Amino acid sequence: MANMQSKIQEIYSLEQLSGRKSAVHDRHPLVKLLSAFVYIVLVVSFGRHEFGRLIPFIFYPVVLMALSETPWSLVLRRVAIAIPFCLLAGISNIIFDRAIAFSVGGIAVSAGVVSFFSILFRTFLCVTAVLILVAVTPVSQLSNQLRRLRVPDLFVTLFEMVYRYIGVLLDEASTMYTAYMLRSTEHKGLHIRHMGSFVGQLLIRSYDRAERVYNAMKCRGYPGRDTRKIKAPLSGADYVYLAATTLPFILLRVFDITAVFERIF
Amino acid sequence: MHMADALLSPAVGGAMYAASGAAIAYSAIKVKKDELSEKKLPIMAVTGAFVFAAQMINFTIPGTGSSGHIGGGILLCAMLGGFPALLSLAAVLIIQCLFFADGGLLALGCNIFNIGVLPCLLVYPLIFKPIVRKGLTYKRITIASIVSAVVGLQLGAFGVVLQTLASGITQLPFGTFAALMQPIHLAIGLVEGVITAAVVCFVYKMRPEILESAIAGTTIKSGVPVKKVVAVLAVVTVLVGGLLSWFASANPDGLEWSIEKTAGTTELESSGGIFDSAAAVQEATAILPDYNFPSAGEEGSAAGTSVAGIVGGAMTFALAGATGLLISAAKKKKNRVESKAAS
Amino acid sequence: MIEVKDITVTYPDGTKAIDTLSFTIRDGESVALVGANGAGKTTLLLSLVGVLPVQSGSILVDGIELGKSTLNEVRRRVGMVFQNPDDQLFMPMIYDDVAFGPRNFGLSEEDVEKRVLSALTELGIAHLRDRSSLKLSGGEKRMAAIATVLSMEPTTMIFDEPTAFLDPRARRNLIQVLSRLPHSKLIATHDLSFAAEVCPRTILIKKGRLFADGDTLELLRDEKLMDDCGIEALR
Repeated sequence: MANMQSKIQEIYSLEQLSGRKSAVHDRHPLVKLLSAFVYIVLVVSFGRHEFGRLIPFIFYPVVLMALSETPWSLVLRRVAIAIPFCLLAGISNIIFDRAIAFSVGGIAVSAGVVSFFSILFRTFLCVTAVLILVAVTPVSQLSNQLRRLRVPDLFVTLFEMVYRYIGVLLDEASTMYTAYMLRSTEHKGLHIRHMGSFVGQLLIRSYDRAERVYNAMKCRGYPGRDTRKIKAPLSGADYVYLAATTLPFILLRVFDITAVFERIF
Repeated sequence: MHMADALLSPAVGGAMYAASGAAIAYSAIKVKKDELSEKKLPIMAVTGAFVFAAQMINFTIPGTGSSGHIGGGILLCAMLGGFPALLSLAAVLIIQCLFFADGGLLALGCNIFNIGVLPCLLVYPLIFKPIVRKGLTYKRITIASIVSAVVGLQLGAFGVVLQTLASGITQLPFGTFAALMQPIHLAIGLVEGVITAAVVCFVYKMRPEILESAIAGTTIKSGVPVKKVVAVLAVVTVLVGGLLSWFASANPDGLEWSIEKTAGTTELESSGGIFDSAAAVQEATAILPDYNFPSAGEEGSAAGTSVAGIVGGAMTFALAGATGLLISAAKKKKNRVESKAAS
Repeated sequence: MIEVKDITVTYPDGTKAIDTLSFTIRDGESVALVGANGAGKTTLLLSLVGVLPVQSGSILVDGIELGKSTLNEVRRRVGMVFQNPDDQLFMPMIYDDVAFGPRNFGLSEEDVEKRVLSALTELGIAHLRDRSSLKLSGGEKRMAAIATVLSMEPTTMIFDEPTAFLDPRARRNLIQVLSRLPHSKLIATHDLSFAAEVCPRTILIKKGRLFADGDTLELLRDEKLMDDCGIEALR
């Protein structure tokens, strides 16, 4: 199925992107992670009707995307995925929240509309922040950081392996599906009555593969004495990055910049 | 039914992260105690990847012409047992969040809780296992799968409703939201249950030992007492109840405000049609009319967006755009210079 | 050095997968393992690394008897390359896969890095260290899989159908690499001309029993012998 191949392509593109070098890529994974997290928390902490104060937050994605040379086309795809649920909630705000917020040249704008745009905008900001994080951080860097943060090793290794095998399983499912479609008279996907055996077959194959992987792991000493504590000290540049990507936005959250604009105009 | 960041408040997000994190840590300990845990790791990993792939498999529902796909939570539980299934699902959800924008980063805690913790640690031990405890038969597998899937999805959907409302970003009233979410997920749950049943029966027919070891593996630890499960339930109830009452008490005005809306006395010219029917829907589904949760962070009023504000906003966007373009241009130039030097 | 003495391996249902098999592989020798499908090649390889238990007989690896307590020691010395590289590459990056073995031995990160780089360079794939196995060619994956075993610095390497999934060029590359490696080798394969190029000696098995053991070209060109084994002779 087309969407399976596109998922594989998505993983591959992100891998290629995260393997490059830039002022952002080279930073320590801890600060990259913290920066994204703090940013998202700040964005999301604004009140429902606050839109104006959110606007300067656009600097984060714009600057970091440019510095890391991450293409904007990826953002659009991701926002499209995240949007539907937010649209539902946003539109319901338009419907249910009709106190007037302000007037522009004679047209009254309701608070609901403002919150609609606020929701859309913060969706965009959050999605972009996550994209930047994965576009500049290779998976193994991320997982080693999780280990340093004392996340149980069992879980981190599981995460790494699931990531690794998604491509393999998608390929397998895709091949099985093509074989199915070439022999079926329907043209609109799997018939529900075949789901049991199709998915079941894939599941059994996965199980068998897991057995072989387990054998391969045993042959290489698993479970062993993996006492890996891959140290990675923070550099001055890392602290600068963290400060630069969090302090301005913390200030923007605390102080109301729109009030400044009001006074100027 | 993945939660999005934009509808979440940090408080709710953080609380759910804590709950999910605790559940994962607990499950990791449980899995490690199981003597076959080393073998479980590759199985958890590959079946986790399988669930991811299985979610891409669209099937057509005859008669409706629409297509759907399964979630896979209960299926994973049947194959692995509750605790390993939670770990696998959590890994899959994290990957979906990071690499495919399916669910936000802050909302990850919520998603792991709704889609992972509730089915694996609540529904599976309390519903699925008891039904098949007497022995595996096609009939019992089918009943267990369908009931578990339906209940699991209902709980998960309800979790989304509560978390969204507790966050207060959206103004969708509780009743309306629930009336939307629950029936849809009832239908989804039924379909998922039927398919799960078909898959598990197929596996049982072809390779019964896989299922038998999963069930056996989990019942050996009958030391996982009802006590622990009840404790989890209690924590969940307290969390949810606490959040609910906190917000409700902090905003007594919510009541009048929502009544005004329902009565339709607004200041805007309603363009008939959709607004009236929306109000009617709200009245009809106003199960808990008292429980609308205005946002806690309401200090910033929409007043920030006067005309001046709009101009300022536009200027900010323009400035940001220019900054981005400048940086990109500088980089391109640098890259060109570097590649010239290299060649 | 591997000494296999009268081993028998049985399936769960009681049938014998390997029946009283004996042979010895001396240091540095390259031996091909040839037999029809189901003859027991994979089973034999898996029992040499202690993945499948042996019901009777003994296996000595560099003088160490294979048993429950010596599993780790034996697996350090005998490295198995599986038929499907995707079963052997289970980490996000090639580096981590190749580092998996050494890390399990408890080596320090510096030593691990040395071993990884040495293995990758030996096989000509140092440039793949930060790549994932997604979108690698069959040949590259094969080399990466071999690297995961090479980094453990074994004395013997055993291979299950190494030319599967390879195009002619990658196959040629594999032949060159294997000819260069000084380790003792046991290579299960259907690819007879490959066996002839890489292994001077061949062991033929049929239904789990030793059928013949001797010079590769002699054995593989003997039409009657090969026919008896259920395999087509080498031209």
